[in-house]
Amino acid sequence: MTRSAIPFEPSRRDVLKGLSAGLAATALGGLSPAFAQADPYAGLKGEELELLIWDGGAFVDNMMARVQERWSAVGGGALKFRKVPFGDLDRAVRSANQGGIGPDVFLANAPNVITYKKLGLIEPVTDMFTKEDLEDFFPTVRLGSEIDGEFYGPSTNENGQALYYDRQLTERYGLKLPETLADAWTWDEWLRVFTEIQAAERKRRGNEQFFALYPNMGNTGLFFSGSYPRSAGEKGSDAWKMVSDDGLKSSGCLNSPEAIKGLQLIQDIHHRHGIAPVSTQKDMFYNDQVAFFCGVPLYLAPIRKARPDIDLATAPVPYIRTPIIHTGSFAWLVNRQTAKIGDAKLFLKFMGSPQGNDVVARGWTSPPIRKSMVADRPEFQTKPMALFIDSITEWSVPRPKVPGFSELDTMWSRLEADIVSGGDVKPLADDATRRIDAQLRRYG
Amino acid sequence: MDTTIAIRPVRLKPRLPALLEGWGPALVFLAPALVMLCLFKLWLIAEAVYTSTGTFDPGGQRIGNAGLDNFGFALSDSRFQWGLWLSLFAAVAKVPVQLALGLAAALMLRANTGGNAVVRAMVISPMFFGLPVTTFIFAYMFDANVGAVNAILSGIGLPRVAWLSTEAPAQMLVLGLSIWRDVGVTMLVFLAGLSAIPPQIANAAKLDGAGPFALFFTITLPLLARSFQFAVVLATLASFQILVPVLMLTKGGPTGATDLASFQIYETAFSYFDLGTASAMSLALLFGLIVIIALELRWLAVKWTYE
Amino acid sequence: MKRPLRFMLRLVLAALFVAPILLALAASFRDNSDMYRYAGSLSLWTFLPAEPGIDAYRRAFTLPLLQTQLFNTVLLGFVMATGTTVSSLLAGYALSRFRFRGRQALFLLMLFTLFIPVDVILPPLFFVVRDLGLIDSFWGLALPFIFSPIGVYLIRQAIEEVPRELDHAASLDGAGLWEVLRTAILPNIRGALIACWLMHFVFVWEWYLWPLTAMRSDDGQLAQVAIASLIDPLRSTDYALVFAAAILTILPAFVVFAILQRFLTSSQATTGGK
Repeated sequence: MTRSAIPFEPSRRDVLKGLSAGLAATALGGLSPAFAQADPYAGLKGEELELLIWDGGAFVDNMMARVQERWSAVGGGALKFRKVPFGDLDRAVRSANQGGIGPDVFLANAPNVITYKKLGLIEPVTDMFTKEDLEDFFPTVRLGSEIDGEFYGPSTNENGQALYYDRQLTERYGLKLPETLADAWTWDEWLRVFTEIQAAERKRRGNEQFFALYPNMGNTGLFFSGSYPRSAGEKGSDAWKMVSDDGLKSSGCLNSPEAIKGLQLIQDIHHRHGIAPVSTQKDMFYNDQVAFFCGVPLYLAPIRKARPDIDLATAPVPYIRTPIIHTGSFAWLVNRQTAKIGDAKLFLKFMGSPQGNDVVARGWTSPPIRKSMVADRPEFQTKPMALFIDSITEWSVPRPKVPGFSELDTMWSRLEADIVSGGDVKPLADDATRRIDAQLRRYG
Repeated sequence: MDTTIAIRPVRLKPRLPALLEGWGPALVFLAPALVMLCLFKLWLIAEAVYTSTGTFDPGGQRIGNAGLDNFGFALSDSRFQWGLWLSLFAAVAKVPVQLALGLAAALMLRANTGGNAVVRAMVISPMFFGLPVTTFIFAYMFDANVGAVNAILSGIGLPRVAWLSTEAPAQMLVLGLSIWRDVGVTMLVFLAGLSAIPPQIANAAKLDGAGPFALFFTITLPLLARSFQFAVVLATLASFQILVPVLMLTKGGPTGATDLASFQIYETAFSYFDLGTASAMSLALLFGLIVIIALELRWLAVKWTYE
Repeated sequence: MKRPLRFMLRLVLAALFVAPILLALAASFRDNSDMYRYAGSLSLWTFLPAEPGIDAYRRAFTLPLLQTQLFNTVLLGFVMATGTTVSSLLAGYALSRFRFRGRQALFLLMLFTLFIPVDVILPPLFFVVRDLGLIDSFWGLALPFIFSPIGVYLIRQAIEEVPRELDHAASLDGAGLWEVLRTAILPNIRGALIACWLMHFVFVWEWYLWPLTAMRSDDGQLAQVAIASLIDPLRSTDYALVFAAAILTILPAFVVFAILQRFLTSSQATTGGK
C-alpha cells in the first residue's frame, strides 16, 4: 500500500488531538520532517502484529496503548501482546518458534541480542535506519544492537545509574555529598558516610532495620552488581572486561585477583559493614527504610508517588578504582520467521523514531535513545536527573557482549546470591567461571 | 465408616465368573486411559530416552548424537551429584516428619465430632490453595525485613533470621512449606486406616488391661502398616516435587543449599537449553526415585490380612 | 486428656494450617506503606491492617486478564476432574470386572506411572506436547494429565468393594455392560467418584511450571501463574494487589472444597490420597 501525503493529513490531526499539550510539540517535531519528506512508512500493510513483552502490569499496558495510538496514526495495524513474567522473557524468546511460528516482534533484554542473532532467531533491520539515525542514537544503544555491521533493533530507552537520596536526611548530619561525576567518591569514602548515617538514623528512629544503602541486587542480574568487580580493575584490564575479548571465557577475568576484590565488596557491604539489607525487596527506599537507593531513571515515578514530600537528590555511584555503570535496557527485535516481516521491520523503525520512542522513554521516566531528543526532556537537564545523562555519556559501558549473555547473567545471579549469603568468595568465583565457560563453549 | 481400600481383606470365597472374557469390548472401556497412558507416559519416557542421547545447541535444536555422554557428563558433575544427595536428603527429612505429624493429627482427630471435622478440613486446606499461591504467601511471611515471622522473632527477643539467604533456614523453609502442605494427605490416609481397624480388637486388648501406649504400639501401629506403606510412598513422591518453592524462593541457593536435582533439571533445560543433559538428568533422578520407592515397599511389605 | 487441653491442641493445630492464609487475607486489605511501617517491631499491626481498605480488590478486578485467567483455571479444573474421573471409571470397571490376558500387568503398569512426577520430566513432556501441536492450547495443558494412575487405582479398588452378586444379578436380568455399570456399580461408588473428582479438580491449582512452559499466551494462562507477573522486578511490588488476586484465585477451589470436603474427610474413598 502506498500512501500520498493527503490521506495522511487527517490521521496526523487525530494524533495531535489525542496528545496532551506538552507532548504535542514533540510529536509534531517527530512527525513534520517525516511528513515533509517521503513517507517513512511506505509499504506498511497495516497487518496485526503480535509482540512478545514482559508483563509489567497496568503501567506497561497504558504505555503500549499510547504506542498503539501513534502506530495507528502512521498507518500501522493492531498490536497484540503476548505477555510473560519478567524472569521468563529469555526462555519465551528462545522457544518462541517451537510449536509454530511465534510472535512477530520480541521485546528482549538488550544484551541477549547477540545470542538471538547466533541462534538465527532475529532479522537485521539495518535498512530501516539512516546513517544519521544511527549516529543520533546514544553510543550504548547502537553498540548493544550492532553485530558484524548489522543493526538488529532499537532500545526502549537509555539508562543511567545514580544513588537516589533525601537531602533532608543528609543535611540533618551536615553531610556534603558529591553532586557531579567530577567530585565522585570511591567506596572507601562512601563507606564512612554510610556507616555513620546508618548508626545515627537507627538510633534516632529506634529501628534496627534501617539501612544506609539498597544496592539493588537480587533480581536485576549483573546490571547493578556486575559493576563491583569491573570497577575494581583499570579500564581495559581483565577484571574490567569481565569476559575475554571473544566473549567465550570468563575465567581469568571474573575471578582475577582484582575482580575478587570487587566481589568481596559485595559481601562486605552486607556483612562486614552491614550497611545493606540482604532482603531483595525493591520497596525499601519507597517506604523510608534505606537512606540511599542505587537506581535507574525508571524509579523516579514510583519514588515521587511513594514519597512526594522528600527533597530528592542524586549522587554518583561509588567506585573502587574505575568509575563504571552499566547502561542499555530492552531492545525491540524482529522474529526472523514471521510472515509479516515488512510490517514488523517498519514497527522497529517506528519504535526507533522520535515519536515512537518518546512514548516509551517518557513512560519509563527514562532518557530517550536519541541524543537529539534530550532537548525535549527538561527534567534531564537539571538536578537531580541530569546526573543520569552525565553518567551515560561519561561512565557507561554496555553489559559484556557475550553470546550466551543470558547464561552468564543467570550464573552471575547465582554467584551474587551465594556471595551475599556469606560464602567464601574465591572458590565461589572459581566455580562460577568454570561453569560459565562450559556454557559459553557451546557458542564457540 | 466401613472398610477402606488400603486395608482390604483378601476374599477367599470362590469368585463369580467375570462379566466378560477377552480383550475386545474391554478395549472400549480402557481406550481413553490407554491412549493417554501411551501418549503421555510411555511416549514421554521414550522421548526422554531419545532426547538424552542428543546434543543440542543453545536454541534447543538437536545438532548431533551424544550416545551416553550426557549421562556421563551429568553424573560426573559435582553439582548434580550434590543435587541428587540433596533430593535424597529431602526425602529422608520430609517423610518421617510428615508421617509423624500426619499420624498425630489423625489420632487426635479420629473421633467423628463436629469440631474434629472442622479442624480436619483446616489441616487439609493448604492442599486446596495451590503451591504457587502458598509460596507467594510464604515468601512474604518469611521476608527478612518485612516478614511477620521475623517480627515475631525480634518481638520475643530472638535474632532475626535471613530465611532465604542462610543455608539451614532456607532448607528448613522449603522443606517446611512442603510438609505443611502435605500433612493433610498423610492424615487422610491414616484416618482411613484407623477407621478400618475393627473396634473389637481394641476392645479385646483393653479388656486384657492394655494401657493407651501399649494399645497404640502393640495394636494400632501394626494394624496401620498398609496405611504406612501408602503414606510413605506418597510422601516420597511429593518430596521429589519440591521444585516450585525452590524456583520461586531460593533459586537453588544460598550456596547450593536448596539446589535440588529437579531444580537443576529445570535450569539446564529452560535457562541453558541443554536439553540432552537435562533429559539424562531427568532419567537419572527418575531411576533414583524408583529405587527408593522399591526399597521402601520392600521394607514396609505387609503380609497379614484381617481374615 | 483434660477437655480444655484437648481444645487448645486442636486450636493450635488448626491455626498452624490456616494462619498463612489469614495473614495473606489481612495483607490484602493494607497498602505497602501500612505494611512496612509496622514490620520492624512486633505489634497487633504487624498482622492486621492499621488502615484497612478494599481498594486492592478493586484494582484486582480491573486487571485486564485476571478474570479470564481465573476462568481458565476453573474450566481446566472441571475438565481435568471430569475427564480423569470418567476415564478412571471406565478403566477401573474393565480392570475389575473383565478378564483378559495381561490385566494384572496393565494395572501394574498404570500404577507404575505414578512414579513419574511432572517436575522431574518437564522437558520431554514439553517436546511430546509440542510434537502433537498442542503448545499454547487449552488441550495441551489438560490432556497429559487426564490419565491419572491414582484415579484408576482409587476407582478400581472401590469397584472391587461392590459385591459381584449385584452386577451378576443385573447381568442375568439382561443388562448390557453399560447398564451394569450404571445400575449396579455407579450407585455404590459415589464416594470414591467424588473424592477422585475433587482431588483432580484442586490439582489444577497446584500447577505452575507446566502452564508456564506449555502456555505462552497470556489470555490462555492460568491465574496462579499470571499472579507471578504482579511481582514487579523493576519497580515496586503492590503486595495488597498480589494478595487480593491470590485470594480471588483460590476462592473457587475453596468454595468447591467447602461443599465437598465432607466426602474427602469422612468417606471410605480417601486412601488414594493425593
